[in-house]
Amino acid sequence: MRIKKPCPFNNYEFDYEESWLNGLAHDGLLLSKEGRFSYEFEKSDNHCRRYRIIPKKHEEFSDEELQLFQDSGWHMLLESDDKTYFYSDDPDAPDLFTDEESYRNYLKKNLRRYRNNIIWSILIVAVWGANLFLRMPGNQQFITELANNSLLSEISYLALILFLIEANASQGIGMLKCRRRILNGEKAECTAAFYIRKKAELILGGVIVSLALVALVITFTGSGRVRGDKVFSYNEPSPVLFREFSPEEWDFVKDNRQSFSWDDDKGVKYDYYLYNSSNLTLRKGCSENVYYAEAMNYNDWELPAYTSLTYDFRSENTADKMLRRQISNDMDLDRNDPEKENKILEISIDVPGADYAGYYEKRDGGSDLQYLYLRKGSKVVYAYYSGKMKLMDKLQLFIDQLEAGENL
Amino acid sequence: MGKKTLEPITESMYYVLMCLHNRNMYGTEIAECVRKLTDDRVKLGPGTLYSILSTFETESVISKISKEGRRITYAITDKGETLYQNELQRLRKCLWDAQRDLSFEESDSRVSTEDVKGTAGELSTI
Repeated sequence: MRIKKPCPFNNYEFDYEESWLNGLAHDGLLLSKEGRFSYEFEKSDNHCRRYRIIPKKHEEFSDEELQLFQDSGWHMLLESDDKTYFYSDDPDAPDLFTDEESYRNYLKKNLRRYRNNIIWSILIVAVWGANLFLRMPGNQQFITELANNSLLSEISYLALILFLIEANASQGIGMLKCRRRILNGEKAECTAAFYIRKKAELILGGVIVSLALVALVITFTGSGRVRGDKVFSYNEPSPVLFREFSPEEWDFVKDNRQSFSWDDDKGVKYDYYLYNSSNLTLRKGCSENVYYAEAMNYNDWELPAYTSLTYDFRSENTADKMLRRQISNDMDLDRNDPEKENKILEISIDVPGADYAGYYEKRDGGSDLQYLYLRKGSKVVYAYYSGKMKLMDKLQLFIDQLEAGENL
Repeated sequence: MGKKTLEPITESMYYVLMCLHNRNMYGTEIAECVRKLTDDRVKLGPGTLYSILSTFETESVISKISKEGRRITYAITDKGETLYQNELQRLRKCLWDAQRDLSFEESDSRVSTEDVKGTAGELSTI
């Protein structure tokens, strides 16, 4: 009869695992197979099996060592990750290690090489985690990114960071504790309470991983990106497109998309794409982004850059929050600025039918940057433009977009 | 300053040296020899034995002289022989000190003569 049991121990708790396996063997359950998440046991009348887990890969054992083990009644059972499992059914066979000193030295030697791995792993996760955190949607400048990734993506980022920290901390702490046990000669007894605690930790880790995965899947399946030439055949709902806003400049962008060359002293390379998205906070959204990806001597050019979007959030509150966050970013307002609300109100303009409308202009280097914000209920229309045209001259296009609910 | 891995020499190490002092042996023979020499008092687990053999070889106390299948036969080196003799001397001195101490205690009638003989008898088998 085969019985499956989860093994909740990490790599550095091999001595607890050993104690757990010995306890099960005493009750007549012998380990037969090792799976990814659980071990398989067979019922047996043999109650005197003993196990020893050595934190070393099978190929790292010398032939002589394995022969010595075998001659003394110890046989290899299986290999898992960086551990090798031995067993003995002979009650007269001496323990693998009969003096504490040799056991301690043996383990210390084998654990030393893991220490560097753990240190490197923690460093990599720290840098990666910090990088992920800084790139989190809330820190992005463009509302397209903000809205496309929104709150859900922030959760998935956080979940991923948490998972990485949890996995590494558990391994690192496990190794330090193991080292302490070895140096102090402590015996690892796997009591029922300890086993239950480890199982709970395993379940918690599993929940974190599952949440991270679900959040990531929903985020990525909820958005799509159309780039390059495919934009011309795009028939889905769209915001106010650049070709509608400024047909002349659109031709220029199209023509200059591939014209960039390092051999010329002048040149510009454009990129543009369309987004459509849907996720937990965003019912439906689409955006267009036109920007110069690379340019030489661009100060001599009046290069247009354009971002336009239409989003329908799942709640008015989220739409308002997102818009305010975008305005703050565009105006370079400090998050804790007490005048923030007033400054947002100062740029408001009168647009009939809109719950909020704002226009903001600023000079950055040699370019005039223009921003338009419209919100009606949960729907947001946003435009950013830098170029020869005036955004306000085409205001009606965006108002129409705000009112045309069927576009989304 | 490098760590001196052979100080202090453990009981298991000492018996391994003793066996190899008599003749060349392979691992399992050494474990069997120690068990017999000590009337089953000292049993060498294979992990412990392998750990000792590795340390001894690194420190040039023993050397490999032949290999038959997966079995390797070891011989004690001059350094190993010196280590063994020094340890033997130290233990004799310990025994001498213990006997002298016991004779002082005897005069205090705290330890019986039988106990002294028993202890000395056991140690003299070295």
